[in-house]
Amino acid sequence: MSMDRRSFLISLALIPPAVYWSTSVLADGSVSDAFMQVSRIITGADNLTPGAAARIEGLLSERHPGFAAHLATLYTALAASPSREAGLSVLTGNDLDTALIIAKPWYLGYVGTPSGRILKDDAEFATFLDMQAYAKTDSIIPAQSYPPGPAGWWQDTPRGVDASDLPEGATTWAYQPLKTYTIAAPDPAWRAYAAGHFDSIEAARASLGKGAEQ
Amino acid sequence: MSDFDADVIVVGSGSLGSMVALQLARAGKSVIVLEAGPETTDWKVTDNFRNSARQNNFNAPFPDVPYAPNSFSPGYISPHLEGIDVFPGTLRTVGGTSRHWTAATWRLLPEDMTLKSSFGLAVDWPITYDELEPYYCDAEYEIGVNGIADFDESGQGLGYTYPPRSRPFPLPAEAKPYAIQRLQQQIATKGYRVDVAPSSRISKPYDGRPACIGNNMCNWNCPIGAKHSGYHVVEKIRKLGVDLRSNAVVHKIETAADGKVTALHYLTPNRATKRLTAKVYVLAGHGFETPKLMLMNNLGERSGMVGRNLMVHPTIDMTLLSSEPLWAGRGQNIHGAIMQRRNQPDRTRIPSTRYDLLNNPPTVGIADTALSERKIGTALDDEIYDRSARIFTFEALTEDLPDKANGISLNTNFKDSLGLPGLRLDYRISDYTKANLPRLMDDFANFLQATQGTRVSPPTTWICQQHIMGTVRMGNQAEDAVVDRDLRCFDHQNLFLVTTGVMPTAGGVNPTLTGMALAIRAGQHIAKEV
Repeated sequence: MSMDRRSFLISLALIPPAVYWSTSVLADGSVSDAFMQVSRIITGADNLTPGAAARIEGLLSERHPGFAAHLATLYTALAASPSREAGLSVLTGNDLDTALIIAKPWYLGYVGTPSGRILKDDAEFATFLDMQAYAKTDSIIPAQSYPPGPAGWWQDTPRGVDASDLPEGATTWAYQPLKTYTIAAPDPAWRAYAAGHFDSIEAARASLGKGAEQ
Repeated sequence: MSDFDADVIVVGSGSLGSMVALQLARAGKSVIVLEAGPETTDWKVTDNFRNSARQNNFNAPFPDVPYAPNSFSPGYISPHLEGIDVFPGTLRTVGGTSRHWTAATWRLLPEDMTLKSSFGLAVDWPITYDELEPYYCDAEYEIGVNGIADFDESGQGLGYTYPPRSRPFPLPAEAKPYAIQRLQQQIATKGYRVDVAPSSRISKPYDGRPACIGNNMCNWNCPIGAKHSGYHVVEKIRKLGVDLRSNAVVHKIETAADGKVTALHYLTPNRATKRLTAKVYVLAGHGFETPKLMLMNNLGERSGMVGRNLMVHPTIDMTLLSSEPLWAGRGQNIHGAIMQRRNQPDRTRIPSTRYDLLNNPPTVGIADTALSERKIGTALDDEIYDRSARIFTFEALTEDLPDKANGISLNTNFKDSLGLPGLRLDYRISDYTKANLPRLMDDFANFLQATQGTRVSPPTTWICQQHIMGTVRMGNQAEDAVVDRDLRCFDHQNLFLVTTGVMPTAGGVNPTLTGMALAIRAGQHIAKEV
């Protein structure tokens, strides 16, 4: 750990004093500050909480040997870029690996691989309220246990969706599009695509001839 | 002074055990309920969920204690599976496994209970739908169930209420999410009808509970108590004076020469023992723990059916990306269903199937996939937004048939902290189940074409529901069943088994409402005897 920290401090000295993202960049040269800045760049979020950042940095430092040095290198690479997208889009090799390692707990809320069927694995909690997977839907899908309104809010058309073509009454369960229903035989191309015989419907159509309707 | 510690002792405080106790307490009987696991409040479970790394694991927010391990505790279940690689998650905690159910409250059809006479398959139940129907109503009104009038649950386009019901749903259906509104239009073009799925995630305030506001963590716990769970009935029985003891692990059952149960013993976490007596005993420890207790004590042996005939509702998920935004994940975890495959004439060779239209928040899974594809920055964010808008999963829940080779037995290679064994689980996907695959693929193809969608995963992997049926099945005679139509053990006159394990066939729907109806019927029957 001491070597990592020394390497990190050396690298910090190479970082330009003014970078694009925040007014508080590396205010005291602490590891957490650097991690926070890199996290903000990776997530595109400027409201990450320091407590979650400290927890995630601690988890990653424990799990990934040399993490601090990799963080410093990544920081240098990102700090030299004019924008978030410019910095992240050109990452390769170890820098991209480190960026993905940092992104995972912010986006998914955990480190490790949680098991859905047994209560033993290497997963550890990272964050819930700062989880970016929900934030990136522009809150159209709220985080579980944080609904945005009273009973029935989910009946409304989601923001940005045009539902003007839906028939009157479609919001009620009594509504049915048809009076009677008869299940259709599947189109052969779509059937083959569904079954995994082709990677796309276009490939299925090309192979099977006339194929499906549009 | 009574010669007994209680009129009735109930082992298990879950949705069915507490429901039996409620009937008995209302009839003025003295009742002790013994729960192996600890008590955890709803707020604590919600807090545990939010702070868990395992939000894909239904058992994770609940206690995992060494003296009462659950089915996901490491080593407790020794799985021997063919064609399927998951097994049901059960809980041992006050309120039981219904603490993490989805609250889907389907009724069985009359045909589901007469599989032998209707389709030449398996066995008929020893009671009829008409006999059970009043108790379905009682269960629905006890827990609060949403639904619509004139509902044909068979999906056959009958145009009238089916199965018959003597009372309407106590609550109106909940709001219909946009995703269903849109999808209903799309798949109707291929002849599929979407209906509301009845549930006990209540649509209006009822019996002291608030209306659901779409927390969408139904499978783990409802943060506001809008979803029914056995914990709600536990609150009721406590008010009626029932003596509920948690951390009480029943392990020994004494019987007399005539087979009657004379006492049972439980252990506390520190191995202190207690012996209790009652006029009647009820085992209500779910479909795993009930047969385990029977096997540990060599009870009900005449039939050779204890622990056998396990049914778990084999299930396949079909996930696609629609060509336009649906935004599944807003509201509750399931709202709608397609029932047309539930009761078709060719059920003789192809299982009953119901498609649930899943509405779980998909975002974390999508982000996980995108990260594994090494996407980062705007590419990652755009992927999450785009796929979250368009992803949709149809879940095909299918009926499986009783097979003596499927079941649970004692796993003596495992010992919990009290020295009690674990469970061995045997289950094999049957040819009957496999015969469904071509039809499932036909339907998936239609869903894809109707949505002009992109396939995310072909439907090839069988999973199971958290439904356990058949392990102590009911029947007409001791030679092939463990309990009779009143859930009384053939071999033990004063021992009743109240669990979905008594169901001799599984149908194509969630079994809990049926279990509760059976529990109410059994509880009222027992109350007349003691």
